[in-house]
Amino acid sequence: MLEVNNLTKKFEKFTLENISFKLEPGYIMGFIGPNGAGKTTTIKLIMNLLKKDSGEIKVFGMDHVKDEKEIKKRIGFVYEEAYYYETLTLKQMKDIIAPFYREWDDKQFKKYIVDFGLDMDTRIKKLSKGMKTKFSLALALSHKADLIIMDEPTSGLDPVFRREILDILYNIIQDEKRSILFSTHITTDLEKIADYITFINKGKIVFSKSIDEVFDSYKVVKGGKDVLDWKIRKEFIGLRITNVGFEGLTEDSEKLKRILGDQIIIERPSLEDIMFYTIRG
Amino acid sequence: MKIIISNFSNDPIYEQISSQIKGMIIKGELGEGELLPSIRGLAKDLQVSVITTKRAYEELEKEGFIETVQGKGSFVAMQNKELMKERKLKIIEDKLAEIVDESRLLGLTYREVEKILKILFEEG
Amino acid sequence: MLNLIRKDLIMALSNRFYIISTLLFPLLLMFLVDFKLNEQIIAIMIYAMSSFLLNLSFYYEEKSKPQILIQSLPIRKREIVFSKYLMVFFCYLIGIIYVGLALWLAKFLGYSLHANINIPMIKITLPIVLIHQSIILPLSFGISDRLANAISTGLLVFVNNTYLTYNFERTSRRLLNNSNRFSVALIVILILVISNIVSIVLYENKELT
Repeated sequence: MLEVNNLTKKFEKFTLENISFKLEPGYIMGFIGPNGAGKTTTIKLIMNLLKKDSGEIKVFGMDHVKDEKEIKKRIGFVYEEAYYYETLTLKQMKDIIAPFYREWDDKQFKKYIVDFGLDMDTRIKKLSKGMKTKFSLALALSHKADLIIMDEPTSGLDPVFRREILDILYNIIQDEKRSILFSTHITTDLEKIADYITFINKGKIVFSKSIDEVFDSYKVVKGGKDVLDWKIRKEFIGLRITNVGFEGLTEDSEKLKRILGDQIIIERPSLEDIMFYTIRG
Repeated sequence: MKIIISNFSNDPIYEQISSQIKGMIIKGELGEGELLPSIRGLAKDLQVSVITTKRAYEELEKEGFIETVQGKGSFVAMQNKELMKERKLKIIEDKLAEIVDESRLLGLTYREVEKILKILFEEG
Repeated sequence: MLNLIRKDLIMALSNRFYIISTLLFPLLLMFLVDFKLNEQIIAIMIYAMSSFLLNLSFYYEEKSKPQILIQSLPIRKREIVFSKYLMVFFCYLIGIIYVGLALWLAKFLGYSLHANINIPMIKITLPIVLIHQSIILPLSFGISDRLANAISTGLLVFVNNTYLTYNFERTSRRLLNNSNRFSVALIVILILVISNIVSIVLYENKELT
């Protein structure tokens, strides 16, 4: 459904290098990385808001520039900031946007608006960030989009609403022909729902794997400082040493188990752990 | 059907799912030919990834507990009666082994344990 | 593309202050010259109205942010550019109709007018409006709306003062000369087309960071 191959884009102070990943229909991909890692840039490149320097982006099997219009008809997007005309009302904004989509489903839209508790006559500038995101979501989900692209949709939202969004996403993914690309630095949202995780840091892909593979390979290891010799340290991607011991992320927990046995505890990491230790080193 | 997973356990989630379903099939709570939830529906109910439920079902199919029919779903496979009995006995054997160990530690004799067992069987 | 025009209309109509001041402008002008209207004044009114009306739909696209929304919709950049050029004609039409109505109202109220809207008037004002926008639109697509808006106002004043006020005789003679009419039309169309192409190239290469 979405295929990115060796995407590269150079900026003055930052380069997005050789980004590659694939998203099949019916799955949710979490796109994680710290702020400034390149998540938003990648999404902008997919949507052709920025021009790529090299590489290939295919959506629904079509080139993302040549067939831009056809592709965008089937994409629903939610961006971090709501880029709307602030002085218009929700109704006016919808009247501008809806006609662009052939498959616009007004009944579906109205249902979301009611569920989200939005008043179509409010001026956009009077809305809180959460409300604007809800509006974006309603728009994105009301034209039978096959690919939903969300860039940090939950930042700035309260945990209750974040759960609600996850529920909505779960419902969408029941249809095996739709996919969701969800970029965020709030990894707890993804731990439950994501099928695949693509981790980007400093403009490069760290990994792009299924969630099972991620949790199979990465493990958190805890133990006493005394076991940390030079050989052992090499096994860690990232390490945190305190007065009372150490904690670190490794890709080869089996090896450590063999060597250190009972001296360590091996635990399942959270996505946040994986991100933290990978970045920290 | 009841499946409860723990996010904090060290057991991979797919394993928790498959072992619980396995248990239900062995105990007879899930009958032969019974339809299991779809992998997507289960993923949604448990709030886990579809990949996880898919893998759980794949494990179960490998071990012969379920069968997946393309387009229809997954069903509890016809169980080999002998195999089932063997599996049930194995579970009990494991539990009894634990009891034997405990009894030894506590210094109980076989006779004392037998007495307790009798009472419990008669109660139920 | 009609969707874009609809968007521009919704945008324009939502800004009441600007609309009212645009609509009042010709009336104010008429008032200021004591209703002694001649061709120059009418030409100025039409020219200014068309520009203001077109700027209405630009006014809100101040930062690149709403551009991000528009460009994420199923629409090609060249369609966005082309629709703006269509809007030029549309705004001109509204300008003419509105000024015509205002003149008619003045006549109705008893003022005697020394000039009217007629084909020669269109022959004078349309090329000027088209050339004006041919200069301004590439600026707004390539650089920024704000800058283009400012330059547009400056250009408006400049042209009004030079061609439409002091040199009106020469301007109208050149534009109304029958033997010239094909070359004038050709030049204007050429400028319009080149401007359109330039706008498209500039816009497609503009990065939305």
